Amino acid sequence: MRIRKGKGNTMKQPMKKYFSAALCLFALSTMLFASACSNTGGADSGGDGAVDVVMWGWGEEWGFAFEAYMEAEAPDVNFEYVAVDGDEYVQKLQAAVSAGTRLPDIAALEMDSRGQLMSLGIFENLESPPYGLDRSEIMDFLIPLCTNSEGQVVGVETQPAPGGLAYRRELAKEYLGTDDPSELESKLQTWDDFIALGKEVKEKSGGKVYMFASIDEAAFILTSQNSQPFVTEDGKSNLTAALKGGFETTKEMYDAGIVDVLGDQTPAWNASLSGGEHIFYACPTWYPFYVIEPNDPEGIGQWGIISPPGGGYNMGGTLFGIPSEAGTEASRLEAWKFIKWLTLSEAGAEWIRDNWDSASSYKPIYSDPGFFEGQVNPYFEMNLPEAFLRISQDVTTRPITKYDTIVVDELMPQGYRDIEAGKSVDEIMAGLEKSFKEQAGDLKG
Amino acid sequence: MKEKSARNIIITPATNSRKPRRGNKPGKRNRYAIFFLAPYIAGVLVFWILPILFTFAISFTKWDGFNAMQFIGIENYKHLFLEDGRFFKSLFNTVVIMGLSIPVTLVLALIFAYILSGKALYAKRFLQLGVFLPYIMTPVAVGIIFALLFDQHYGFVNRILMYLHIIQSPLPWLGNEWLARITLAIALIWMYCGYQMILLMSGMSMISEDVYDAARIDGANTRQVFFRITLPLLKGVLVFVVITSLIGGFQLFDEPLLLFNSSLSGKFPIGGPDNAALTMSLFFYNESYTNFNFGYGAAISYMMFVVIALISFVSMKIMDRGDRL
Repeated sequence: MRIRKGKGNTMKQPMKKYFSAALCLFALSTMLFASACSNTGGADSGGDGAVDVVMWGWGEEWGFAFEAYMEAEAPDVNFEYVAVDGDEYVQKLQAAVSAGTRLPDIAALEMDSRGQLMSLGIFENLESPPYGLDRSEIMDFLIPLCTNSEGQVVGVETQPAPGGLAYRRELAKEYLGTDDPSELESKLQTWDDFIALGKEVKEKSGGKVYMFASIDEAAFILTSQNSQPFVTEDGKSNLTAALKGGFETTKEMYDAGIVDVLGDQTPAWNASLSGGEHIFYACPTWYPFYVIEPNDPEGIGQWGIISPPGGGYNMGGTLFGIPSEAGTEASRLEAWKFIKWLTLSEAGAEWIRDNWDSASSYKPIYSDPGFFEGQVNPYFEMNLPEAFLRISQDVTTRPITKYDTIVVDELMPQGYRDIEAGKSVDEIMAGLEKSFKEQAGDLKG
Repeated sequence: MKEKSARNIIITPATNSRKPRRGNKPGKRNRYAIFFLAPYIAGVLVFWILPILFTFAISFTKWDGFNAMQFIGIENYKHLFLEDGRFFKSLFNTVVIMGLSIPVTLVLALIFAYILSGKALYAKRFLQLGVFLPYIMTPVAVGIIFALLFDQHYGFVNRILMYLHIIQSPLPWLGNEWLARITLAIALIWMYCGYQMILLMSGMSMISEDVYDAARIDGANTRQVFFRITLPLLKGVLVFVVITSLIGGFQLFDEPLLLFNSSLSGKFPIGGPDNAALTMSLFFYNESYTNFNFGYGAAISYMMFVVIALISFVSMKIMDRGDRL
């Protein structure tokens, strides 16, 4: 009996094992299938007939803007805001494209990485149907920043970032003789004037007070005032034409001892904003809220903003684009309706003015001189959007290219450090040109 | 003949005597082995072999990760060797930084291990912990600490050196090519000395006390005990420490990235001033995940593999030869 039972067991044991293994395999494949299903494309609608619109962003204020749009226009959409770290944005987008998972209907393209992204051909041409963007409605200086190498407008700036110079009023009064913005602008018409006045400040203060806190700011402003592209249309390096002049003036300032040596945006630099030893700082539209006020909370009414010698420049900014493979045609269209409302409509311009204390990309609205009337910022005790709008009138911008990340993040900082190290500008440019050709392998010369 | 037949007698039964045992039939055993190993083999295939082959395949393409791959033959390798000076520079940097840090770390770790293994030492555990502590510190914190310490204008190191009149003006520790490499090497020595000390201490604890007792009875002094007993018997651990340090050195990534790209260091290119701290891993990362040249990044990673394999092989051969001597 025992033996037979045993024999019976030996017959059944493998069957049980195979059955368990088969069950495990079935469970595993069901799980894989289920997870695959949940990732393919995402739902087009929430089941209530409304279209799902997905936005990826790193600033929750964009989500608030969409909520405001829904309140104002009552579109039939389900909105989903996905917070993505700004530093990992491009990687996440790339991973989603490779894996074929749902892309956002509204993608945010930050200035540093937008050149790379725009060159990939993954964004909708907003001038073509069904979008029908009219580029004449966009402020002129923003058009090169929204246009890819094929001349297509693939996004619209959410908050234009023309830059001026912020200055500490008490230092300007003490060392430059006035804190009135128009008087200061007339004193500082050229960078030569700036350097000459800087030398006087240095002398008066015994070398304690500087015109700029870091070399990076001075060089960035000076090189950004030049709209020469980094690369020519036939794919050759144009770095020297784009950067050399700016570096020469920066070096002149540095050698004159009117620029301090603080690392840009380091704690020492942040502390300098309330330290009272540096008169001027670069100041695009987002600096007052994200840089100046948080670092100098006691400085109410202590800051003024002027147009720099040589005119305004652009510093940063983020545009909204629509990936061609995102969601469905309906969701992309709904995304466009929101983008148009926020960036290219009177209602959006009013919302941006009232909520972000800033200007939108919508050019026609600025023909009304009273649009920003009464908009006084309590910290700066001045009308910021109006000041920046005035500065933006003479801003010129260079075309966006896929090489921008290499030039702005790798080569320009090397140039700044080389100036500090005392190298000549010719030497610096030779090094940068060499590095550029190494890093951008497809340059034609 | 006799010898030959004797040999036959020994060999023949040995090969023929292997009788299949119950439940151990080769076919059945293989089936079970394959069944139980299948998940692991599948894992290795999917997550290890396939990526290696895929990486090799894409090293012959131009691919940004968004659009379709474009086959370009050996162009990536040509650019790497003939046009892009950063490859050899990153190799040079990696070797120099390793050369500056590994021997010093090893010597210091050996000294600490020997001293802190002493039985009668006061506060031994506390001191061991003190030396080991930097190893468990996150590289982000290390990057921030060293960026602060070695800042040219506000750093503690320059202030101390100037106070002691060792230097007249502040040194650009993070802004000069060689000083940047030295700073990085100091950070690595500080971080990894404790880890190596623990490994060496465990090696020392394995050496029998009898050997030391015998040496002392024979009249050996402390120096002789260290060089004639401790060091030779630690060879196995030392080989392990050196090989893992070499491999780790070629994978050096976090420390240079964080030292020159933290919010405290100011703006530098990813590899520090003049790419002085651009290591091979950093170079690979920058090309693949910042510039989105996945094809080129794959070519870099393959060259990294060749270099690491070559150096590991050579160093193991050298140490193996030393063992035989």
